Amino acid sequence: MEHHTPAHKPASFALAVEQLHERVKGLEQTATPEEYEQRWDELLDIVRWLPELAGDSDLLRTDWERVQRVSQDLERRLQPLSKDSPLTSDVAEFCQAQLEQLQPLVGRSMASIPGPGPR
Amino acid sequence: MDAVFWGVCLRLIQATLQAAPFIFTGLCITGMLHRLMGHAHTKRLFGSNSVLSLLQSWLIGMLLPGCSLGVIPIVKQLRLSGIAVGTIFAFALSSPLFDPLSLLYGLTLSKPMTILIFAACSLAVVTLSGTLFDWLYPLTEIEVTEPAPTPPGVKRLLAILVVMAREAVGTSAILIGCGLLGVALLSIALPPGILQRTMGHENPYSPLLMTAIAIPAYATPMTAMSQLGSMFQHGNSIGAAFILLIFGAGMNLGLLMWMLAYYGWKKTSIWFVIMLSIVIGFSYGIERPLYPRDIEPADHTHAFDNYCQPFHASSPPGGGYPAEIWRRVMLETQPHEWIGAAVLATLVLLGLALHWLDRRWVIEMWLNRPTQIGQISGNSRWDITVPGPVLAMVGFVGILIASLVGCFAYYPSPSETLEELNLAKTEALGGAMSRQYEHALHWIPICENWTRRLQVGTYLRYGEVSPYHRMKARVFLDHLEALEHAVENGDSQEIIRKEITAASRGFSQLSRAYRDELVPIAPQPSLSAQAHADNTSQRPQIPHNR
Repeated sequence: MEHHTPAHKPASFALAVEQLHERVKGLEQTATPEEYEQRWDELLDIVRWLPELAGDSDLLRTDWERVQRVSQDLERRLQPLSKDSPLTSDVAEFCQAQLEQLQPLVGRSMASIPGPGPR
Repeated sequence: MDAVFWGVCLRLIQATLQAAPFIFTGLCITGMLHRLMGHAHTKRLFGSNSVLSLLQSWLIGMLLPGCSLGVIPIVKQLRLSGIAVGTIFAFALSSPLFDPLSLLYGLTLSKPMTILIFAACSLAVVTLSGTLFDWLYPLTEIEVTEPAPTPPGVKRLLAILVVMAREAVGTSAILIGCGLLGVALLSIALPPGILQRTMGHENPYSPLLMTAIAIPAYATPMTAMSQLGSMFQHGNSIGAAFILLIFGAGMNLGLLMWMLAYYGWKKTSIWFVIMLSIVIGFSYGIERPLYPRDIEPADHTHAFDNYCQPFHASSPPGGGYPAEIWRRVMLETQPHEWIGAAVLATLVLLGLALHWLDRRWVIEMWLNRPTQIGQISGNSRWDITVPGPVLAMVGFVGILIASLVGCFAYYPSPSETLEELNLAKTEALGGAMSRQYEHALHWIPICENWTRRLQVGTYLRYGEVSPYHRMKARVFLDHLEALEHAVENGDSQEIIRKEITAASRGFSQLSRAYRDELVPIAPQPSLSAQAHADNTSQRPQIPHNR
């Protein structure tokens, strides 16, 4: 395929939610500043991809709109933060709380897709 | 050599068929301006030699449907009506850019705001270039003696038909031929698919290259809009997209020849330099601010394949070139293009007949012969004589209303569109599955077109296309695109099958969204209510409340 697909783009909405949980936790523990900046950028990318990935799933309109709201809320909260300073615990808690809202949608997003779900 | 020759034939036939309805509309408008409006009222309608006249002409151009070939007879008539060049070009450049059909189409693209900004930029272009040119050359208005008016009644309508027929075989036809020559020249000069990797956002020369391509090229408003859609989808240069709209849709060699023939090379060159400077300046100015950040750029596009040679000399079509041309024309030509071509052909025949008749009898002598009052109005008090300008305005409004009504026909209801899309999708995916790749590559763009029409049809009937529905359409389009690339790249059958499955699933989700979820279900529940719903129900009930 000639469209460039970034390596960190999750293949599905379910994987995106799972990765976001892990990446938010990982950010709190990341050591070097270079690594931190890259992971920060990737985290924001995945947050922005959430509506598209949810759109490519079996989620119905109300659920998709919830994903879009969560994506926008997360981006609004994360975007102004500096990449240089580590993630504060209140921001991390906010992110995890937002992601918790998406957890019930993961199962519904794969209603018609056979095969394994998130790891 | 065969491939080039037959390629030129195909491109000329395609361009002529696409242009036919617009040329017919242009001839209608010319006939009404000539025989109903008259010079004085035409000049009052469009204005001349002032900034206000540029705005007036831009607005009229935006409202009336047209293409860059269809405006040729109109600009000739505007010149005869004593209108200044800046004002004429404000109309000539704006009329082919948008019409109701293409504007609605454009508003469903990934960045509708970009289309609105393009429209605003086109106004700035015609205003700046027109003001500057009219300031440099204030005396471009000419005075031409107006022909005798045709008496009211059937004769007046016949006179419009006669003007249309004469223009269909007169200098307008020659200039339209020059416009089509640009299509032929491009198809000779550009090998197949050579423009696929040339319009990247990162390439600083993209707008300049597009300028060289777009001026001789011919694109109807809808073609230009769909090419813009493809450019946005592929993350191509926004500046190049703007130039494609202004010059690809708005300009052609015929219009340049018209200017050269009537205003000389000096004025034409200066006007041309002014236009180029402003348009290219704008294109570089909007490149970064309007570039979509949420698109993963592709290194290619097929949007401009239609300007290149259609046939590869190394792989001629199995059934021969004429048969392949016939097949493509029959597949691609829309019903309104066939009708336009038939009407135009009739006008050409009528024009030739009038030309032959001129040696013995000039029909205008009979049409313009004054009729006695009693013969016109009869005795009924309802049989009133409507002034020509009023009739002309009714005609223009009629054309505008027809183009608006045409929107509902061209963009059917979502359920009808989904049926058409389902048929096209079956052909495309079936072709890919059975390894009939040419068949698949033919039907994939048709699927893309129906998907866009689905969104416009929804917008027309429901007043909005929700972000959810836009996203469903975008996802399906992305899957179609991925399948197209897999087929073109000759990827393994396993990859192609994977893309077919993804596209098929994308269609099912799209179809469900547009059939069952067009009307929002209910106000958003609170978070606690949502959590309760999440725990108690796996799938919410969606009412079929369309």
